[in-house]
Amino acid sequence: MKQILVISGKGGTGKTTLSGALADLASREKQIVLADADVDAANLELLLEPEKQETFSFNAGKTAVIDQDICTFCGRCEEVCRFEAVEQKEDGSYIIIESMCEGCLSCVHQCPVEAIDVVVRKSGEWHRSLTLYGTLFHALLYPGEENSGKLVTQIKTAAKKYADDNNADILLIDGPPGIGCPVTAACQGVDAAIIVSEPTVSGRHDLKRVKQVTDFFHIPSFLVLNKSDLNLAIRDELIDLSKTTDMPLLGEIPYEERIIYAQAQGKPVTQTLDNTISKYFSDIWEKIKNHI
Amino acid sequence: MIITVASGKGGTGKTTIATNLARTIAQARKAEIESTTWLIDCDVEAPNAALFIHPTFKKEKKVERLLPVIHHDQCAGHGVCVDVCESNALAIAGGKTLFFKELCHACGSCVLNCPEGAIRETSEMIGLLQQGSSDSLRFAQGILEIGFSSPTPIIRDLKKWIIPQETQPNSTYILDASPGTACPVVESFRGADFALLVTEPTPFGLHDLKLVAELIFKEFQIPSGIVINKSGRGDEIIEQFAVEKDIPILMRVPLSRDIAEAYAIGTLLVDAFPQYKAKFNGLHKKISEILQKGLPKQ
Repeated sequence: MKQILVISGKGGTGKTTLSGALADLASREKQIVLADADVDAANLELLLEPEKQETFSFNAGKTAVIDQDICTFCGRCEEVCRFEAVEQKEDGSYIIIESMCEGCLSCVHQCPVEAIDVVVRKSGEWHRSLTLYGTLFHALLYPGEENSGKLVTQIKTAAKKYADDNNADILLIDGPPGIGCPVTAACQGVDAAIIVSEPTVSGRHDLKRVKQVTDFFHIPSFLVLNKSDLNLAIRDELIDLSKTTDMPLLGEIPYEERIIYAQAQGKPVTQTLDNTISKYFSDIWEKIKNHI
Repeated sequence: MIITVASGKGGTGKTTIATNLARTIAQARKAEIESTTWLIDCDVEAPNAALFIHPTFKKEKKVERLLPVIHHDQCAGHGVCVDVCESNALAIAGGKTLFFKELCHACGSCVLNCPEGAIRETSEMIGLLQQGSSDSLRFAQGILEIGFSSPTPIIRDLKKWIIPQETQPNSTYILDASPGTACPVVESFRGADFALLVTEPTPFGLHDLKLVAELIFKEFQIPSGIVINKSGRGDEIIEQFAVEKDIPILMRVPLSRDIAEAYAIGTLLVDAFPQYKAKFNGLHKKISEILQKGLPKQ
C-alpha cells in the first residue's frame, strides 16, 4: 500500500481539485482509501458526496484551570508558563486565560499543592464515510481550536489501519496548506508528496518552502503545475526547478475558468468536464502510476 | 485601527486584498504627518505579501525559543518527559530518549520534570521577523523556520514588535492572516477591530467562509465585512449567507485572467488597473464607517 500526500504550501493552488480527480481516476483501477488532512478547512467531502458511517469525537483541547480554594498564591504557575496564559489579579490570586493556554500542562505538573485541574473539551469530530470512490476519512476541527496536527494524525492513523485491513493499494491524502503543525503531521509515513503549485510569484515562493519540508522528512516529491499558462517565464523556471531539485513534473493544467465553475457541481472535475480537461488529470494519474 | 484579513480557504485572495488596501490607505494619507499605515504579513508559514509590496527591510529580529537538549549520558530512560509532553515531541525507542524538534511547542515542561536533570535547554531560532517600508507604507513580516512547526509564537512576537499596546487613532494596521481557522488565525485576530473576510463564490469558498465567520462570532464579536473575489458566476451563494448572518458585502473583484496574470508577476491591482484605487478607497471608507457606528446590536 502506498500513501500519497497532496500539498502545496500556498493555499488555493488546486490541491482538492486534483485530489478529487485522482480519487475518481485511481478508483477505476485500484482499491483506494481517502483522507482529508486539511482539518480546519476540509473541502474534499464537497466533491465526493460522502455517506457518514461512523463519527468520532476529537477530545484534545486541554486547558488548565486553577482551583481557587486550594491555590496558595505561590505564583509557580505564572513562572513556568511560557505562553503568558497565567495572570495575577489585583487581589493576588491567579487565573488562567483560556484563549492563551496552549494546554501544555506544565503548570499542572509544577503546582506544589495540586491546585490546577485539566479540562478536556471536544474540539472537533471525525468521520468514516462511504463514497463512490472509496472510504473517506475526514474531520472538522471546530473553529479556533488548537491541535490540528493531532487531529490529522488521528484520521491518518485510522485511514492507514483501514487501508491495511482492507488490502487497499493506495491511501490518497488531501493535505493542508502552509508548512506548520498539520503539514508536519500529514507528512509522517507517506511514500510520496505531490506538490501542486502555480506559476505566480507566490506559488514559486511557497513551493520552495514546502519542498524544503518534504526534503526535511526525506519524502520523494513530485510537481503538478496548475494554471500553468498564466506566466510562461515563471512556468519555465519552475520546470527547471523540478529538474534540478529531483522533483519530477507529473503534469500541467492550464488556467481554465471551467475548472473553477465545475466545483459548483460537487463532483470531481473528471466526472463533469469533457475530455479536453479530463485528459490533463488522466495524464497526471498515468505518470503517478509509473513513478510511485 | 486594526483590520485582520482572513478567509478560511486558501488562495481566495487575502494577500491581494490586504496589499492593495494597505497601499491605498498609505497613499491617501501620505500628506498627513502623524499618520502611519502598516501591513503585517501574519501568514508566517507562507508569507507572500512582500512579493507585491517590494519593501526595503531596515530591521530584523530573530524569534528564539528554548528547546530541550537531552543529555543521553545522564538519561535513565524513565520516560517522565514522554509522559508530560503534550505535543508528542518525545519518545523512547530502544532505551534511548528521542526528541522530535518539529513537533515541539517549546513549553519547557520536560526540562522541569526530568528526575535526572538530564534535559537542558538551548535557545534556537524558530523564526525571523523583518520590518521596513515601501514608499509611504510600512511593512512587517514573520517567517517560520523550516523544521519547526508552530507558527503561533512567531505571529505573537511579530504583533508585539510592531503594534503598540495603545494604538494611535491615526495609525492603521492591516494584518494578512493564514488560511484555515485554527490557532494561527486566532492569534492574528487577537486585538483586531475589524474582520475582513475574503471569499470566492464556490462551494469551497462558502464552506470555509462559514467557519471563519463562526470563529469571529464565537471568539471575538468584532464587526466584519465580506469581499467576494473571483466574483461573477455563483455569487448568490455568498450573498445568501451574507444576508442570513447580516454581514455586509463590501467589495467584489471579478474572476478575470488579466487580474490573475498581473497577480502572477507580483503587480498590485491598483498599479495594473488604476480604476481599483477608487474601489479600495471605497472599501476603506466603508470599513471606517462601520467602525464609527460600532457593533450592530445582535
